[in-house]
Amino acid sequence: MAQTTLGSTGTRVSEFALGTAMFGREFDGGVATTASEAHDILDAFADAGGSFVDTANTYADGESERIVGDWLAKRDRGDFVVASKLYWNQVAADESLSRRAIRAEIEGTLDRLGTDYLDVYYIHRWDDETPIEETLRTLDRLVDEGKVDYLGISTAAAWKLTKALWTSDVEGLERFEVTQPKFNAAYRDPVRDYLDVAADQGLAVCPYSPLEGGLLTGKYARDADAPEGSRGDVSDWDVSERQWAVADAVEAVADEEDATPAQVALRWLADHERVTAPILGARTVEQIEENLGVLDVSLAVDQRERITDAYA
Amino acid sequence: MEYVKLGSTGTTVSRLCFGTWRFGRRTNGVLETDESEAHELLDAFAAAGGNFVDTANVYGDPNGTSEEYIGNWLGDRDREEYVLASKVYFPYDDGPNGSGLGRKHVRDQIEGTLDRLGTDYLDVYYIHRWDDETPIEETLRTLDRLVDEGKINHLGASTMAAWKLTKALWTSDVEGLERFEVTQPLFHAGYRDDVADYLDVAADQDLAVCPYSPLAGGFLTGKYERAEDGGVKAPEGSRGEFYDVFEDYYVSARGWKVLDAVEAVADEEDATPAQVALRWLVEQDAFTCVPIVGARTVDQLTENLGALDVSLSRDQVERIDAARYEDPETRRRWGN
Repeated sequence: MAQTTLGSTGTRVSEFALGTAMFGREFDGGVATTASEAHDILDAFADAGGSFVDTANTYADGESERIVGDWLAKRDRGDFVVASKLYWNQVAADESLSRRAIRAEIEGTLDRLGTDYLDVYYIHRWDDETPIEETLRTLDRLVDEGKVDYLGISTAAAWKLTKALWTSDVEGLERFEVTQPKFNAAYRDPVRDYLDVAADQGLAVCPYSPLEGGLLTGKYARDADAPEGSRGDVSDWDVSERQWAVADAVEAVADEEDATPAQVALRWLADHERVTAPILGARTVEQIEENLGVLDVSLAVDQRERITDAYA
Repeated sequence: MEYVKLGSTGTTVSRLCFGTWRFGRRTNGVLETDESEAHELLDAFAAAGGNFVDTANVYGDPNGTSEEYIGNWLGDRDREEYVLASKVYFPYDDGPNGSGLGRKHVRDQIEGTLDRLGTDYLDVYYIHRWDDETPIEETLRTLDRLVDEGKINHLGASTMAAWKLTKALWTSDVEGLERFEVTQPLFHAGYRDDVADYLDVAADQDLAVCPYSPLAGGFLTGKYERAEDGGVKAPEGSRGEFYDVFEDYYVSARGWKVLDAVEAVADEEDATPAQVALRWLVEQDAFTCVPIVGARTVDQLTENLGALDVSLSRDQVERIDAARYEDPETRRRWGN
């Protein structure tokens, strides 16, 4: 896997991050990805050269962090770039980004991950109830204390991200260097301004939901029922015509390249000029192996454009 | 007339601003508002207590005509009684520096604007759009200097991405420059999504909001009939004749729902839909909102000013608010 620089930071990361939201997640009386499956997925990712692992305090109520921590214990911590998040909190559940909440959550996260520091600590959402100054001062202090290397922000209105950068600038605080918006070939307009801010300010962009929740895997068809057990039959999707058009274009290119639609969609995203490192999700070892197949896929300019233009 | 402080500035303005986009404008060769009609309209606005007049360097054919009409009218009046706003950005001439927000063009344009208006200063000087080709620092330093020189009292910003407005405020803060205190977005009851973030910035930063097209180009007057395809049947002589552009710009499924709500409230209050739609803007409580009303005739202007005699109950405001959301899903904005 190629390595790339994480935005304006000095840290090098693999060109894809591994998303761990399914690790230990319980639903319908079962577990989406058990600890041992999760470790196999992490092994496959690391064996392919992956170094960038993404989790959050809210994933399976901390179980995802625990699973990643148990796996990391058998590895060299310094070889990996580990990101976590807070907002939907485990200890300070009544507050999101207050000083008290951040102080409580970082300790839980470091403990579950079995590490002294995070490489990236994201705010998972914006907290309208807490002044951004308080949040940034607290996060800045965590950097001073060596508990966090870089600050990150997931989804927020573009102007609020701008206001946060403004606040850091005026107050002389660490600023958000890494962003994690939802962004993929079939989800672009709502995130356009946000990506403009990232480009204008030299921020890293690590998109989540790179396959639009499965739409770009080719598992779904316009007029057919969603496959059994897939997310398509548990959530009511509102898929627009242009999103279907992107799915069609992705599938057509996949046929030409003898690749899977997911691999093509991931390649489109990884090669996007605004993107630093997409986050690969995987529930099973088969899925991570399929997703890692993206490393062998390359797209011609014309193929990229057909996918780009389908979202008209 | 009601008056209000213009956002966080010390300047007091009438609750409605008069927009002069039609002054001297030629549409298909026909002059929309000639100078004597313009002066009649300004007389009527001033007689009703209106003091806030909005123009731009590019209004009228040729450019500058609207400012000239206003300047000639002001010549017989006391300049100090009025709050004058003009704008810069759009091409004034074909020269390579004939548009945008570079120091050279802004310096050139303020002189022309002051000259045509026959005044030494503007109360508000707007950037009409954002200029991606010029660093915002250069623009703000230039405008700040104009404030120092007494040529401008307050800086304004019209339409742009919410984050760019935020970046401009950031730049002013860091560089110790005057900041944009007044905004002029497209905002009316029938239009929400694209302007929501911009209005959030205005609320967060205590900026005044002076919406243009507050009646959605006439759509919210109720003068258009709904066509079967969801578009409009244009009455003779209305702007609906340009209705392809008009429909794209102003008409939507949500717009018709809002219009239904506005018309129902208008019936209850014995007011016109235009008056209710304007009053709804004036009632915005997150920021100071001073709609810019245009008018072709004194009758239209009088109708619009009548908005200030209408009062809306909380329930009526909320019914219009509710119609602006097609369904509860769209209340959930991307991110937060």
